[in-house]
Amino acid sequence: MTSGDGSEPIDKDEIVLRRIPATFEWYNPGLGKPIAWVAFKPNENDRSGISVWRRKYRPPCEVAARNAKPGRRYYVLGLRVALLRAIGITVEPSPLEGGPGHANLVNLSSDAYRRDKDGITQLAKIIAERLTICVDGPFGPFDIDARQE
Amino acid sequence: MSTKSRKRMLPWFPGSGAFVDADTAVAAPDTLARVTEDQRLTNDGEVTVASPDTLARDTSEREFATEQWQEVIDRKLVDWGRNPQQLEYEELIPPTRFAIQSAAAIAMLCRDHALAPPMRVVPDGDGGIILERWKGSLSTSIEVARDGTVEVVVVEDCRVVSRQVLSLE
Repeated sequence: MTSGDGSEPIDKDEIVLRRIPATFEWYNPGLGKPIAWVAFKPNENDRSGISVWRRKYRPPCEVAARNAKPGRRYYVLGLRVALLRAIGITVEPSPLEGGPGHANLVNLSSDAYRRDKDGITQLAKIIAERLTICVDGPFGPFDIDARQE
Repeated sequence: MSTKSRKRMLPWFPGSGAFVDADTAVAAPDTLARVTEDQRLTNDGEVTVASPDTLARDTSEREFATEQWQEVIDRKLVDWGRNPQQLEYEELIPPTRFAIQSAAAIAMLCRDHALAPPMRVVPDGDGGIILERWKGSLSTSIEVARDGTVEVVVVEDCRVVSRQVLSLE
């Protein structure tokens, strides 16, 4: 944990966390490819890139609970920043967007997907199938109180 | 017996031994029926005669494929259509009714021709649905967008090697 405001540059040795809904079955440990690449496919809300959380600011259980929808369960995927950078992904802190510890995978934005579906699909596949180093959860279901930051 | 397919064929799932017509997005019933009865269509469009053992296996594989597609329809697509709120998450968009209708049309077509079933059927978080199957480093996805348009995407070793729009007309 850290007492910073989360605006400092992200170190290559940091781990960032991506929350995914359990109901979507984007993570299924029974499959040969347990993580679906769509877990890293930007949607129309991802204008600044896909949201992640710096683990040094928030552990996986907090990431899962933050603004969770009541009654829902989540998994949390872990990614090493150095490996993301090695495939050209920019990981930028964005505490103003989501509070301390929030960051974006800038390349994986809705605009980028519209411009280059194949390129973004490839990056998402590599992250899902090769770069995800851990999966925590499922966490939840959370009640309404867990929606507090 | 060996004949060459005259149609431009698009491979569906790797290892399925079956194809979907790339121009019309309608599985060529004559070709598929012939293939599944006593022959095997290779990736080059070659048709070869199968042995009796293969035929027995093919029958059970066809039944399995049909059941699996029906499960996709009943347990995923119909359920999502009836209870879309179960897929409502804060920042994600659940499958639209257009996407569900297109995915159901594809699933019924594939069920009726006993094509190899998908290994994963999931919402894409942007109003669409992804059906995916893979074998080794080769994977094929049917990507149904929120407006119901459909693309078949073939990926090898994480690289997109083809993306084709399918028309359901």
